[in-house]
Amino acid sequence: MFVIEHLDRVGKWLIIEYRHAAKLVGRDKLLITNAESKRLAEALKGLARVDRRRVWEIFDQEKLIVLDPQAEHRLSPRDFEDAEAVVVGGILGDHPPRGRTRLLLTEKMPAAKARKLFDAQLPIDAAIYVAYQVYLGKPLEEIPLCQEVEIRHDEVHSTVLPFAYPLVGGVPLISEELVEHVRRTALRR
Amino acid sequence: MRDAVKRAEVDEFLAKELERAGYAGVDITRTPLGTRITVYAMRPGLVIGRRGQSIRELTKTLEEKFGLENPQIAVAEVEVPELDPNIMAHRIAAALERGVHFRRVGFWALNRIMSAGAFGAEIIISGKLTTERARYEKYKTGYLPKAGEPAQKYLREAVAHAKLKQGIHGVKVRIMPPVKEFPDTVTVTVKEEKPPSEEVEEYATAEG
Repeated sequence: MFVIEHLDRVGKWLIIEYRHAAKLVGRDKLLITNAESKRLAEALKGLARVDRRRVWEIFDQEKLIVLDPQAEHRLSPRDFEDAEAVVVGGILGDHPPRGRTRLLLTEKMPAAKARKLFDAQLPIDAAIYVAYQVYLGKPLEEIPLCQEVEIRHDEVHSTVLPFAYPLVGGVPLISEELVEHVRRTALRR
Repeated sequence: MRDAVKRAEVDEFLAKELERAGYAGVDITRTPLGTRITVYAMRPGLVIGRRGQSIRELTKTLEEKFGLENPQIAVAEVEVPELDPNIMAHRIAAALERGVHFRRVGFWALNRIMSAGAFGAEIIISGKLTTERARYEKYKTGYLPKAGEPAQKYLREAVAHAKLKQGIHGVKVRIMPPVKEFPDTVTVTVKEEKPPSEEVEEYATAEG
């Protein structure tokens, strides 16, 4: 089971990443927790399985893997042997990162296994995809990564997303919907 | 090392103090008589102040706060402010703080820089710009080397910050000013060839 512990304000970007994550691992394998209000839970139900409780209220902490960029050890396929779920913080990161996953998630679950994927910061959907690949048996070292994505709008103007994206077939794994959203917000005057 | 740190501190202090004067940079040189400080600004009048009052206060502060020996301040006007990355970065930051959309500001600044004769320019505005995730908006045109001698020698760069409700936005400006000749410019000299008849005549005259 892949869990996104919702920890940020709801916005279009966040919803796009949640939707893409659900598409990548399958709607049934993704659980969104901490949907604090009933209205939010209803809204997220269309994307994946939703629970209003905190993740540590649902699972045994010792059987959880928390993906935290500040963790000491990297995630490996062996970590999944005794794990029930992998938890990703539903946080839209800053650049440079402020380490909110540690503060809002890892420190709340001291018994859970904290693991990092790469040294760079990954978006929520990309982190879920990489964790899924590791779960399927692929070591992290075999997953190619690009350090940032540049979306060109015209000859002069482009938008750079300073987050690491995994490469699939040499192309960054980013949802078309997100590219459209970035384009729309960048070109609006 | 200590000098470099002091220089950076003075630069930071002057940038804050002389923001309204369009501060562009400072040169500090030690002379036998004291310290010569040349302040570059868009509006030198504001640095000097009425009857030199501001410059006198500035001299006193630099002496007391930074321990500079007998500072002699000279103010030089920046001839083309559009080619100065410091001034442009602060103008962009001020426009963002006034609420102008980043795309409009980016294009406006880029056009101004290029119209002033720059070979190339790049403007990067970063932060949580109208969206929830941090990102960079990059505006780039012309010749802008990132490495090598031309970049080290001529490329000028400055950073400013805009304080907005959503958080701090960073503004980075890189400008390649008009340079007469780059170190890698190749010039081909064409050797003048004389017509064959002239050559024969010259030979005949020489032979006697």
